[in-house]
Amino acid sequence: MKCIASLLLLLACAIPVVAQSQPASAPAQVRPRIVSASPLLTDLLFQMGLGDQVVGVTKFCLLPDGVHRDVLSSREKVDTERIVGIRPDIVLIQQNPEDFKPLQRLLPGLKVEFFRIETLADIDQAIARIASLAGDPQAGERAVRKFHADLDAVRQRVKGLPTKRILFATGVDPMMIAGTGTFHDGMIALAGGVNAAAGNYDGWKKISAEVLLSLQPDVVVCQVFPGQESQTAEFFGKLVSLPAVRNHKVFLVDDPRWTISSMYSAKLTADLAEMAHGDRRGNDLPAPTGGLSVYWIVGTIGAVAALLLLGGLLLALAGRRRKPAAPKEVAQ
Amino acid sequence: MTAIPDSKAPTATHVLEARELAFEYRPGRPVLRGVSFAAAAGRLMCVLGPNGSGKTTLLRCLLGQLKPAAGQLLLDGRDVGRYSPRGLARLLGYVPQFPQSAFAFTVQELVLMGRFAHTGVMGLATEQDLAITRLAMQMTGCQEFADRTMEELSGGEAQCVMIARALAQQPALMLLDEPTSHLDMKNQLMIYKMMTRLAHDWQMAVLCVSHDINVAAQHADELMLMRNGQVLAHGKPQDVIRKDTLEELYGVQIELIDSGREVPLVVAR
Amino acid sequence: MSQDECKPPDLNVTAASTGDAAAAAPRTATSSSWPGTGGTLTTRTLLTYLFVLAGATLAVLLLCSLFGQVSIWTEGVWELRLKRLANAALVGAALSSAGMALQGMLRNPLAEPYILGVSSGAGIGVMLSFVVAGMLHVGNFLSWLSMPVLAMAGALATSAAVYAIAQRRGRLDPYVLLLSGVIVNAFNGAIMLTLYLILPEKQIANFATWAMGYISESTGPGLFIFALLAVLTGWGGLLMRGASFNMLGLGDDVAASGGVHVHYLRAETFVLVSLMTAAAVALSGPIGFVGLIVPHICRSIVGPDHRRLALVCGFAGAMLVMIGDTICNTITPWIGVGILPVGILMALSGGPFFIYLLRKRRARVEA
Repeated sequence: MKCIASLLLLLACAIPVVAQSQPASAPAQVRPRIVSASPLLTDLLFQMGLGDQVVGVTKFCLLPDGVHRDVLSSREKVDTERIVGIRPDIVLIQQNPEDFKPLQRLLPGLKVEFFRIETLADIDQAIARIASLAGDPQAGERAVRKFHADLDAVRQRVKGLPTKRILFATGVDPMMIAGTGTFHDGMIALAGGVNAAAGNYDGWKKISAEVLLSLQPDVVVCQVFPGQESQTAEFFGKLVSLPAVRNHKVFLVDDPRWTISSMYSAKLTADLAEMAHGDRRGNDLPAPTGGLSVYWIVGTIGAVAALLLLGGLLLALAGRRRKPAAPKEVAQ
Repeated sequence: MTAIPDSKAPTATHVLEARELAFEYRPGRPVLRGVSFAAAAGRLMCVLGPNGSGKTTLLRCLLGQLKPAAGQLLLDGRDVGRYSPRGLARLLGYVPQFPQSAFAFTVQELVLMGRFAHTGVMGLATEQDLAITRLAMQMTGCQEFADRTMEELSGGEAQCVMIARALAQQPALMLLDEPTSHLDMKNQLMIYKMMTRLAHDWQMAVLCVSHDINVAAQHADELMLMRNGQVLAHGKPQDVIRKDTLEELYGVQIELIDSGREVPLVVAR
Repeated sequence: MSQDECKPPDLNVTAASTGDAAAAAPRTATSSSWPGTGGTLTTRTLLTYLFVLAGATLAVLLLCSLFGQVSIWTEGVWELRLKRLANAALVGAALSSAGMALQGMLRNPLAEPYILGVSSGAGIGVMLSFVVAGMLHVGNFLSWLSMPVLAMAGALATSAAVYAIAQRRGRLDPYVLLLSGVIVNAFNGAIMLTLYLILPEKQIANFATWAMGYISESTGPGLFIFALLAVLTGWGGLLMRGASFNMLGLGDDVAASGGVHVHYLRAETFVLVSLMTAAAVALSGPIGFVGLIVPHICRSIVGPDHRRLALVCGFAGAMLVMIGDTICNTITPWIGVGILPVGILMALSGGPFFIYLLRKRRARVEA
């Protein structure tokens, strides 16, 4: 009885201790500690120069060389306990906020901020918001200025140049392309091009080689999956009627940042502009091996098919007309 | 005289001969001990015994599914284990207890399948195959429902089909596993009469594992009684049907009733 | 002639005196009245089937190649389509004849090629190829360890594992085989989920795309020829074993007593089916429903004889998948979903048709 009472007393003492350990409003010199649950947001944080405030990242975040941070979550699972252990002030997320409710219950003062970033314009707003959350609005303004400057540089570069049909794709067999309303749609427009996929395709869509041919892009930038470089190159090499292939304007890229929208996208947009309008040559594609002309192949197939069908018909008719043989004399 | 044209005439004196056959599923638990018998052409032999007497095991040894632990099993003078499945099929036709057909083949097609061991790889039938099939169907009375599937047949009819199929193999020995256990009296009689005809008229060796001692005794040329994996008695029904033998066989009180035939009726009390 | 009057057969009955036995044999009524489905099977009938179906398949190939998103005269398009359709034909033939063989061998109408664990094994192979590629960053050096090769390797390895688990003294019991397949599939599923944790997000999306089942448009000639040989070998082997499969329906005991080497047959069928299914999955990812539905549809039309069925299933599967793939590439982009995987189309169309056939058959049986 006594032990239980003393245990309860101990617990009662612990509560105020726990309550006190949560920070009240941070003093001006102590910046909020930030956990990022998305590679895109991690990128933004570091690009804005707020890397020091980042205390936790995801497994897939790309960090600058030599920089390490605790990995606190993967795509599906948020390691709630570890995050609680680190005690951040802010968590920036792009996932479903419902997933973070348990975390908020454990750390009542925690701010969970949800970002939706789908276009270049969204990045502006994101930068401003992150900066204010981090307690460093100037960093935000600097970043936005730089971002706009980079983008303006690109605009200047392509001013007056004829627009090209540009297509951004990933993977091969089947290939996915960026249609309207995607991030890359915006990048293409900035780079002085028109999205070749604009007609029928909204968002990311899988397409077949034929569709690719029907889109007739002048420039193709394709992000290849590791290990599929040669397969992708061969795939494009066969599509000789594609303007991009004819003009050596198929670029196979493997930088994962092509599909992580961040401030770095400004640089990539500049690259895109160079690829489209500059002298840069695309990857060398293997020439399609000469083979039989397709007309020979089709002709052969057709002839064989006709012969087979005829043969089968004859066989079938022969069977129908065959009369029963007259019974022969039994040999004794 | 051979049964079906061009079938291979058995060369040994006995079509089937078992010498001191022994088998055990697990070491130390013999299921067959020292079984010796012979089945000759032109005779119907019925094997009887209580459940667990080793009849099924004997059958499986005969079919080549089990390798005997000791002793010899000779089919036409050669050890059963030395035959390939096709070679065995040309000598031995098997009729199971419960006819089944997983696919919807017609009776004609099913009986024709009995020619598999004689045809080429693709199993395409020659005119002779078709003739033999027709004969087998006539013998068993199947030609009336030649184009129905097994599902549409009664139990007796289905069993006739299986017998016809085995016949089409042109075997020297027919092996039937309790073929009438699920049939009514009329069909049971029909099947036994058919087996008798096969043995006497077509000079086949017919071995039938039976469950009904009376029907078997009335029709068989030889009876073999098995108990505990051993042959208890073997011979003509008149000699084998004895009160003491049967009481030892089944472990019940037996009464033999004279019904005016050669072999008395057996009734359990 | 009644049974009692049936005399012992005349010794002098020979082939000559029986006349034209084929014409004299009773015309059997099978489940439909398609020409050539009744009566006994002859070499001529089989050849007729072969010629007509092969000709029809090639004709369908050509016909399908005329449809697509762009004008056929665009340079390179026709070759592209022909290649894709050839892949589709191979996949269709492989899956449907494999499904037929498994349904016959296991006497189970629900059997289909993926129960042997082939598709989950291929999935693991594909994921491993991503992991390997991601880790090594050497791209072209190990590019032969590409996705289709590892897919096939994974498929075959899994089949071997299922066989090893299911066999006892070299013999396969159908029930145990089914169970082993289920268990290995479940185990593979767990491995795949584990691999999910390692793969970066993009690769997971790539894998999910593969798993939906798109006919590949960029197979190298080596892979295509290997797949072609695998499918032809398997298909031809199954055709030759058609009569044996027929006998299996009577039960293992009766089939063995009738001359079928049941255990060899099971082992051989297993190997052939694994080979064909592995080739199909390497070419296209796992396409479902074809292996399950096509054999049933063919069986309803031409009857259960596996010799006929092997031919019809293979060609029917090839034609169906070719047509399905053409529809997917021509029509679905208009609907705005991008290209639809063939497997989904097969399921959406094959399912209702199969239900219709099932009800028709039941109505007839109950009538």
